[in-house]
Amino acid sequence: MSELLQANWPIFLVALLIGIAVAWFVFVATRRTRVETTKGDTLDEGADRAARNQALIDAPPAARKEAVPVPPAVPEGLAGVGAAVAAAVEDEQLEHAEAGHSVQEETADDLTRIKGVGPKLVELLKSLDVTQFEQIAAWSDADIDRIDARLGRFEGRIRRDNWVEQARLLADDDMAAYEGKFGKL
Amino acid sequence: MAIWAEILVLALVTYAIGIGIGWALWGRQIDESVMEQEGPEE
Repeated sequence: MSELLQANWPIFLVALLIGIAVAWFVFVATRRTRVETTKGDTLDEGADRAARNQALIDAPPAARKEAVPVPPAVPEGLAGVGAAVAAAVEDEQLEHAEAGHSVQEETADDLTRIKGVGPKLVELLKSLDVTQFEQIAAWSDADIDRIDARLGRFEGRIRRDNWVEQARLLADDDMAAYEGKFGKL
Repeated sequence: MAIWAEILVLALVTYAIGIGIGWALWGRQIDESVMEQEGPEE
């Protein structure tokens, strides 16, 4: 047998190569790529109903409409008249207060022009209803003491910086006198 | 005649060995890739 192999080895080599070529042809060359989609979209018509419904349930909720504000109940009969009148009066008072506030804001002076008064003091004075130079110019000693006590860490500033005199000159719009006494603005 | 029969048989055996080698090279890869794609059954 070995002699036979040695004598005819080209034949056996060719047979081996043909076998390898056939195997390649079978396993590689004829391979077809199959694309199978086993998982379809759950919302397809062909999908199972239960799964489809679950998919709809799990879907994000639609945008909610903004809650419509429920108007207050209208009082029926005479029993509600008193409440309605009280509400109307309250609204009117609120309107007046707002109007007064806006008027005050419109005629308010720039109190920061007074030397020694900054934005924080302006806010503090506003909370005490002091917004105009005339008001400060009209302060008496008692008023100064009263306001001074409310200034907290700014206590003593009114007299130290002579707000009353400054306010008087600013209210009169006497810039020359003001700058002569207190320096340039 | 007998000698050629022997040669033919040996050639066929060699051919089968060649196919075995080809399967080992390319056939097993396909089987393994198919197994991976299928994945575990739920």
